Amino acid sequence: MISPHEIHRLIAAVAKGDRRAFAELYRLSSPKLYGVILRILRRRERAAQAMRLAYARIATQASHYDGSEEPVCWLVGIARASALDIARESEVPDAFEPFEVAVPARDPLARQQRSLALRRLLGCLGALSVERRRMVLLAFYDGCSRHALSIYFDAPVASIRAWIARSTSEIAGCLARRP
Amino acid sequence: MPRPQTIRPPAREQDQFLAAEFVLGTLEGAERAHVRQRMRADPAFAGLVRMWERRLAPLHELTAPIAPPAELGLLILDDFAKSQHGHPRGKAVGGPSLRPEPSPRAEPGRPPEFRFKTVDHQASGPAAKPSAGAPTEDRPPPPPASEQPGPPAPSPEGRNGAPAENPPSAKPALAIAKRESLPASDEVLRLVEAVDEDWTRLLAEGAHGPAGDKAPLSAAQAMTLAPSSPSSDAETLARETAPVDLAAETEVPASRAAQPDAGLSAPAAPVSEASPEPKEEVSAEDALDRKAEEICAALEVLLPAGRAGFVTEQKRPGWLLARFRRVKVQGETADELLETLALEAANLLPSPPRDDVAAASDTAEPPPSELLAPGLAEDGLDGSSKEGPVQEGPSEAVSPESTPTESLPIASPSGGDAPIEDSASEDAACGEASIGTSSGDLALAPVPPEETAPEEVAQPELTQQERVPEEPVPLAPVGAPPMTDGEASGAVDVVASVEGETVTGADAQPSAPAETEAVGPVEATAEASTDAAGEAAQAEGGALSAVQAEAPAVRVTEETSGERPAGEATAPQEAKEALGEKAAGDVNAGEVALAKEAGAAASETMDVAPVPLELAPAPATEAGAAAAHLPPVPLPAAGHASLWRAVAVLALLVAAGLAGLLAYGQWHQPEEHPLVAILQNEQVPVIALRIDPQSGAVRVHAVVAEPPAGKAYHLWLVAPGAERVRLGRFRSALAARSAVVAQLDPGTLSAAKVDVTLEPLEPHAPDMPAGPVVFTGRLVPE
Repeated sequence: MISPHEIHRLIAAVAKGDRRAFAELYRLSSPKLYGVILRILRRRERAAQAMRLAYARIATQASHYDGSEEPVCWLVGIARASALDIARESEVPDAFEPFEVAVPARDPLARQQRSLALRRLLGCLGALSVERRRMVLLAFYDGCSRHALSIYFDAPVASIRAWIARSTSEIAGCLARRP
Repeated sequence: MPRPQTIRPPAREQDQFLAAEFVLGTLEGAERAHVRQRMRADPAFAGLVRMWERRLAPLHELTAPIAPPAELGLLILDDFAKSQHGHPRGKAVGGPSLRPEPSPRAEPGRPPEFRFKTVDHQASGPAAKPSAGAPTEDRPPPPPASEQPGPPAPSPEGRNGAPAENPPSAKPALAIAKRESLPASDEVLRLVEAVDEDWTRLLAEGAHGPAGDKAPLSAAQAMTLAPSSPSSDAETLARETAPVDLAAETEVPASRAAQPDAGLSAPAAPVSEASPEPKEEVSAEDALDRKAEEICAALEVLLPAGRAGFVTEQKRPGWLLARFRRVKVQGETADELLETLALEAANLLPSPPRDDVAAASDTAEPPPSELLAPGLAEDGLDGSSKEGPVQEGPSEAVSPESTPTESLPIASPSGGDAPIEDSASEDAACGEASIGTSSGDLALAPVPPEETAPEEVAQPELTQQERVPEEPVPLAPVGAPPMTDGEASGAVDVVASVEGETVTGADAQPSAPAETEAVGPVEATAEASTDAAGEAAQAEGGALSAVQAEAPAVRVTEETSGERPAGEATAPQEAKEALGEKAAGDVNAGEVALAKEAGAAASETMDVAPVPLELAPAPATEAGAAAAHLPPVPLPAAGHASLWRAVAVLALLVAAGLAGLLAYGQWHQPEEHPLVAILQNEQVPVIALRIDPQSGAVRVHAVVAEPPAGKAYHLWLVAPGAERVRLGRFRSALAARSAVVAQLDPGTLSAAKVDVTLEPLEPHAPDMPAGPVVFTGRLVPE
């Protein structure tokens, strides 16, 4: 596993315009980010678009990255936001086939164990009801909009909204509690 | 943009929710745009969003990684390069603005695989079995270039061979156009395929090579996702794989511990060793190398600027030969190859100086039976001995002409020289790099002003002599055309740009690094009548400087291309002369002993130069002059062979040990953080702080009264001999990661003091405390 420190160093170098660092950062992070993005967008050409957007943002925002958060999370955050931006750009009918990856690529950023943060988050998600947990995960991984969720759960958009609100506030409360 | 890292005052419920929804992605388009606007206007809200991102991001660990198509990577790297150059087209980089044109269409022909259940499965299918042997015909058309269809391939242009005069100017432009417009991997693929038949044939007639199980590459493979089968993964772990399948001609990759590819350059070595061999075998091997060079040159063009240079740098034919042989044998796709290249491009450092020394030693010794740096030495000889047949150079010199001519029916004198020069230039680059470190600086410095600065004894003589080389020139052209044929095929573009210094490089390589500078003047004077002289000198100077910088080869090419235009008029001539000199250089290489002698003699006195003049027109004098400049270099180098080998092996062992240690550390690293207690006998306000010097993680638990509204505790690190650093601010707790802390070494950190000040929430000055120090303490090792 690549240490977060290394990624951070790369990001800092990218902020200075170091192409090599950028290439390395791309090499390390692209499988992860592409996985995230493709899952949200499901279509390769759009995923490619989002990838370009994401890396352009990474390059421009690299100088703002201050190392206060896990670098991979930072990258993923940008990637997800880019994917969502692309996804919301045009209206595409929703479908809910599960996203399956036959052979996952090798991910340089993969970690052997789940991080503490993830375990805590999963603990908090576990405290939600099945349906609401599912809703949150669908939104996170598949980028489902409220509208899509309302179709999926067969509920009016307003209720979806309320459920999400409650879910997120519960998650926030749970995470705020010191373990 | 300081990111709020502290517990902030409770945001309004709605904002919290909005931020959460934004991050979760449940907002619809319009709302999303609205939130983006608001983030820009309201930093507090942006902080909320970031907080939510941070909260939810760990979920990413559960996603399945997918390898993106290689050309996407190229596009993105290209984007980055452009944005760095302030290229007009790079403005898409500007954050949220989406690029309107759907340029990144990866696979236009593909049906929209919307919500495919097995998206990835499908995609990786064809690529996963590269041995499926998709014939060339069913290769899908290259993805439409985003800008313009552009020239279909680099190879056609190159092969058709532009007239000799224009290449210097025309080629670079061409290269640029391609870089922008062509989908790279397809291009690479085409090249690989174009070379394919030649290869199989050559492999068949050459002694070695598992020509049987060739795995033809199809564009389809290149277009789709790189397969993620374990084997290919293993391959992408570039360095370890180095000596993969070179069983036939493996050699000890000892010469270059730092560069694992050295092992790959091994195959080339046998050739050089087998100098007395009959022509055919050598030529087959050499032709293979040539192919590798072609591809290499083409790759160079195709790779975005960020990765360029790498290939050039790696262009020792042996290395690429091995690479491409692997493509064929193991069915590695072009994409994987590119990926590997990129990876190595990212990882490799400029070659260590000792290569050159090694090369020098090799060339210096007449019998190259125990070559230190096989690949490099081979290169050097190769570069020098292009005209071998004309003179009586080492045997492999013969090869370049003989085989490539048949294989590739292209004869453009200019284009032809290209690959050679190109390769030579890289060699030169390496050589110069190392020279620069040793004693070459002085040598190179005199080059540009050679007319203006006649102080040096050697130079005037040289000028006389180069007139002499002109007589040999007739010879050189004889040798030249054939080679040009051979190389014209792929390499054209890169090549064209490099000329002046390549020549010098070619010369430099054969005899010894010392000669680089000597050659420079020679050549320069040869062209003295034209303005080209200055350029050549300039080019060389540029080369040197470039070499000293990080990415040697790239800049070399760029700069030379930039300077070239002026010299165009004289280009053909120049080229001929250059070749002539090269030829001379070869003679030199062939008669190393003589050169050595001359060098030795010259080392004693500066004025020896005239003597060699009589002996042999150019080369001897060159050598002499060179030696005069740098007497010691070649001699000690020879003795260091075994030393370097030992060093290399040692370094390898150390690296292996370290790797093991690291792996061990990874396994045994406890994920949980240890618990800490602070015991006191009475209730005192206390702030517990924990800093992890490794990651720079800072954790604060404050058992104190909350600061008044609008104020916050600010945490400062005051390390001895360093500026005070704001680690963060908090009201009751803080968890942050500080890059500064991570950069400090544990020693200073353990002597550091920590202050907590009470300040306004938003500090006025970023690195000056504005309020009183309310808590203070020292860091101690846990």
